[in-house]
Amino acid sequence: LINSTISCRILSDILPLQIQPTRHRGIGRYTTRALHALLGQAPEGQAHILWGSGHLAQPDPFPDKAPTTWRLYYGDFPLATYQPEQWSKQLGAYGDYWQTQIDRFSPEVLHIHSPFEWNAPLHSRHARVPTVVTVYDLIPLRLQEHYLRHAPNWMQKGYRHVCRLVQDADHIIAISECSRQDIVDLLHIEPERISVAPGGPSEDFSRIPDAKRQGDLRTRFGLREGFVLSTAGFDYRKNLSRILESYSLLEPRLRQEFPLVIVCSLLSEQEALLHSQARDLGISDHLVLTNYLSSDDLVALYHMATVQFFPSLYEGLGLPILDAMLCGLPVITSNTSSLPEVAGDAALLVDPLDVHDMTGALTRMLSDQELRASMRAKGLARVNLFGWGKTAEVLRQVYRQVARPTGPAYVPPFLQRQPPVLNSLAMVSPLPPQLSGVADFSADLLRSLRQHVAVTAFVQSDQLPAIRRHVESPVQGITDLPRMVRAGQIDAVLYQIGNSAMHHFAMPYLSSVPGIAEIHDGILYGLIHSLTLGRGDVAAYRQELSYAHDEKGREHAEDVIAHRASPAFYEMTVNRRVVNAAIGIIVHNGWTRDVVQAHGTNQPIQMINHPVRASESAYNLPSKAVCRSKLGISSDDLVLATFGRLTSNKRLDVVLHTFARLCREVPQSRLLLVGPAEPPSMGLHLSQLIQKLGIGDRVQITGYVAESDFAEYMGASDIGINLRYPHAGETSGTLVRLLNAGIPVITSNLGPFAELPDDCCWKVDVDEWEEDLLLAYLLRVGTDQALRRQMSDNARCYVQAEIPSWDQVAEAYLTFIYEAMLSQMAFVPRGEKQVRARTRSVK
Amino acid sequence: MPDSYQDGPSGAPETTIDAAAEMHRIRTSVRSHSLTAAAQATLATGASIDLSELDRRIRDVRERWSVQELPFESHTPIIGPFIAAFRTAWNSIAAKWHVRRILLQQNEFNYSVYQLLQAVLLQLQKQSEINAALVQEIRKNRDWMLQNEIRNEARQDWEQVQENWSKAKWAEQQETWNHQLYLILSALHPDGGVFLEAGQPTSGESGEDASEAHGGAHYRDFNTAFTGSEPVIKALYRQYVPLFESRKSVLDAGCGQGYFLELMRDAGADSYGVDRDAAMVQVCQLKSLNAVQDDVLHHLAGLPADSLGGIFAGHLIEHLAAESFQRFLSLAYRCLCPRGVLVCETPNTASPFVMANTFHRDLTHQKPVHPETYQFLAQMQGFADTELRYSLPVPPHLTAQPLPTLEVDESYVTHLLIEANDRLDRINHQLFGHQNVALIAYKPSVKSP
Repeated sequence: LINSTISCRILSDILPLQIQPTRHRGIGRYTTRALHALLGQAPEGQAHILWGSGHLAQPDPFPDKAPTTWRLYYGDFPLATYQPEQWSKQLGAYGDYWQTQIDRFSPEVLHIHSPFEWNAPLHSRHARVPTVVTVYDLIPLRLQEHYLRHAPNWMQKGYRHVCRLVQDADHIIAISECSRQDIVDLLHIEPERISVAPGGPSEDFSRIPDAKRQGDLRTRFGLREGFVLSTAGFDYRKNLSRILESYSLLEPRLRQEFPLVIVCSLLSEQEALLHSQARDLGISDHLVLTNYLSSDDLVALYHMATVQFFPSLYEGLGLPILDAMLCGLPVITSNTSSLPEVAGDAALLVDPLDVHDMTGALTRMLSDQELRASMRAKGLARVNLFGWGKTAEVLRQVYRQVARPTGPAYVPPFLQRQPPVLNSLAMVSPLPPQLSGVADFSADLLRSLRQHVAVTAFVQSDQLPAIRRHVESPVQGITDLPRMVRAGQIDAVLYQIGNSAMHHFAMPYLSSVPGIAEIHDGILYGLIHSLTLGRGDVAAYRQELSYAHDEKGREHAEDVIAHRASPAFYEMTVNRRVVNAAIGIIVHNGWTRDVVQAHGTNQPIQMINHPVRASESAYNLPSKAVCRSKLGISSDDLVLATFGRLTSNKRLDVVLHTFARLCREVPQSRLLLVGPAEPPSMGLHLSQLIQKLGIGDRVQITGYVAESDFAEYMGASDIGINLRYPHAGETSGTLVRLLNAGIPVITSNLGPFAELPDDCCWKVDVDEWEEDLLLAYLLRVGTDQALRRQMSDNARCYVQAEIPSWDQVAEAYLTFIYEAMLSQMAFVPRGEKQVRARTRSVK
Repeated sequence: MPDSYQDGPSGAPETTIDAAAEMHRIRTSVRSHSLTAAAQATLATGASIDLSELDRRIRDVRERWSVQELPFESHTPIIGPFIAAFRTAWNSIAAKWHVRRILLQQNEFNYSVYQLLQAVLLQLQKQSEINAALVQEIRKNRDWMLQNEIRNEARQDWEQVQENWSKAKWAEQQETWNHQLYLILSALHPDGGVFLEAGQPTSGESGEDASEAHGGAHYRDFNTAFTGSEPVIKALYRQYVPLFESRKSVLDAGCGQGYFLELMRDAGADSYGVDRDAAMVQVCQLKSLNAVQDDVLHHLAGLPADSLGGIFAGHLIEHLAAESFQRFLSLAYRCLCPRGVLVCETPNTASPFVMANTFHRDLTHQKPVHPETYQFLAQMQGFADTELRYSLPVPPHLTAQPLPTLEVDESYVTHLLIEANDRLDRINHQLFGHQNVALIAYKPSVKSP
């Protein structure tokens, strides 16, 4: 077991991958690459817990190479609504919040990737956890005149405060020798506590861009063969004015041949300023400002340029020159800061304050082809010394060096056993007589699982007496769950989560007693809405929407609260809370699996098809003739039927209108609506419509029918109709039952319903052709007995191959639950830790 | 139906049908053929069919339907006129018999065709108008649908869409709303309707407070005009009977026509009444109830201490000014035996409905006092276990009814409706409080030190 060998868990903040604009800048790029390199081949002994914020934009997906050695969690602190100016005020609350996260994970190492983001979780109280901090540069201190001195007061104070916190860290990662020296000089930290982990070029730059893109760029920017490329930002240290000035001092012949291309995101007034400078210098005709470029375009420009001109005043590392070297682009850069150390002898070095020196280097490079060729070769050799693999190796070494077990954390006993055992399962779910599809499902599942392990059902406490009358013991109130877990009576918890208020009671336990979540509906908007806004709790609603859908959710919540928009019951998933808390996830269809995985979290997820009853299979049902004679239906009739509760999302109006049209063509047809109307007013509406359409003698509403009668109604039907709109990602239990009974089905061409095979389950699109198409299907299937037989056989084959019976399914559940617990072991605090009262440790 | 719907035991069909392919074939075919292409062309180009060309050609037919015998002309010089004259003469002889006849028939036919064309044109014009109207309707519907789509997709269009959309859906609701509001307003307006003072106004019992100008015979007229009916009042008073049932010497202070005394007699309890109005006392005596004519305060002042088991005062205290009420309390306290009970029913002044409709109708009512003030005064007097019991809710049809929920499956509307109903509830609660309140107070069994 790989997990049992893990001795070091690293808790990393991934805020630089979430915060705008950092995620697109150097720091974001460095963190992304370093983490990808780390996670791509995590070695034995180290596991990563990535901590992001649910309220910020989601990070780009991580490589999913070793899902057992890293996990992504979304914290719930309303970071996004904090203003940087409020930084010092938020610090206390945020620090407290982080302490709870640290208590929860009890990591052996805490790695802060970007301490100078104003919402980075760096806090002196975390000192009891070995802390590693990456410091990219100290430019604001080094070039105080140009940066810190003119910054607002809160920023100056904040910057110096973070510097003091950095001094407390157990270990510092610097990205270059130069930065390390700065840290030693300015923060007075002993050099032994600092490791250097330079990054490398981005592999994107090794791809040769296609000729078409190059041609497009030439046309777009009016470029000929060669040009001087400068990547910069509108920032003092990027030295833009001297770049322009030195270029203007070039011989006109060279300027004519090699225009200057500056790649830099610019606001319109900044662009105008640069243009006016260029006019004053007389180089307007030779200056191209690309403004923001896509990364593919940027790579193409690197491959097309003659020379990279990067005379920055100060860089922590200078990734652009490594990118240029990887493209075989000769480089001119500064002889200051980290740049000489990165460039070595593979670039022309200039004094970035001396315009004439810069012009001289440009002239030499542009007029000497041999020099360019030799620089190209040296650059390609030099860049090989750098690489993200090496960065990752340095980080791993540092983690090994500083790691030490930290204080106690509460971990459920069942996650402490090595290896886990699974003899006693807790299932948290609504159960009959509660009226819901999930309750019925859980009752069946409970019966099935109990043939293999002891299962205790945990239900809403006020429903306990009623449920105990219906469901075999043991059944407990949910409030008993934590006690029984602490007492070691439970080996794993299985939560049944659906999109209704019946699941409220389970929500508070999801994170405190982590378990496997079986998500019946990919969309949980209704659950969360009824839990918050439905109870009048506006603040909680705002918080939940923000947590689940960051900025989009916040805007939506505000709109709903102000009555500018209706709640997006079927558009927004709002399932992050459940997904984030689970240690494993079970779903019933691909649609829900996809919306769950869209969060980028990577705990094990398993699709288990909604099981069926063997007793109801086409092979075990009584024959059609028997069923019909029992129900008093003529054997000559064409019997169509819908099954399950008659609710507004079953599109019964469409069914009835279409049926009325069908009756004109096929007078012997009958329609059965098998199930109770919900709400009761639906029944009234349906009977009125049936009367209006004049099909009263052909349509029958059965109301609630017992299970055995239900099977008979299925057996008596020729075609099942199961339309649905809108849907929350649920799998219809009755639809699967119909297929199991060998009944051809017509359903809606949407979400999970579209996943069923076409050869036994025909799909009607929900649009203006819905009725016409349904009618055409009914006419075709209804008048062709051979086709119906074929579809019936196809349905049986599908069920036999893909759908487990209730008896078979328990094994799939137990196997997955065990695997999920096994894979969770890597992220659980190790050692002899026992359950102890949590104490806040103060430095 | 050529086919029987009875499926036999399932066996392999003779030939395999590719059901999936069949589904896709039908789906493609249904979704491609539709009226929409032609209809969309009409919608795009315009509503009316262009009838002007047809009209022009029918005019042309009108010019030419009547076929005339052409005069024969000859262009031969000199003898031409003669030839022509001859031909005309010959034609008139030779053609007269049959050609004329045919010509006439032809003209008749032509005319009828012309008539027919006219009729068709007329029909077409009508049809065109109908089309125009239909197209207009369809356009409206289409716009409405489009706007619905936009609403779903783009929030920024919300306001504009809402304007059109809600107009259509809320028109019906608006009427209900207006009706509800009208009810609220009319309930608040003193002339809005006739509401019973749901109690039994007693005649000005306290001479000091009820001014003589409004008392006496005038008050009895008023009383007769506005008092609730006997069964209504008895039903309301019945709730207090259990409080007195087992007690001795219960005084009905301001007994009026003796409704409460009757209830007490039915319950077999020992009680008597006092009222200032001689006519009322007479009514009581006619019913053989025990009643004396006296001023309540005067009567109480004359009683020995701890002599009464209970005192009931139905709609009395609102006629007493503050000092009189306090005096009434202190007298009642003195006269009641330990654990004796005092019940004073009075209009609920905390309900705006009562204040707007019933309270001020009676000129002998004093300045309204809040029920809790009554309670406080009773406590100050030394009564224990005081309680305010509210009764007689405003009939639901006079309050604002909840709006019916819509059939339309539109969560936003439902959401609004629920909230609107919630607010109506709160308004109802505020405006339509119970009409009566009773102060129930006990004299403590042991005197507090």
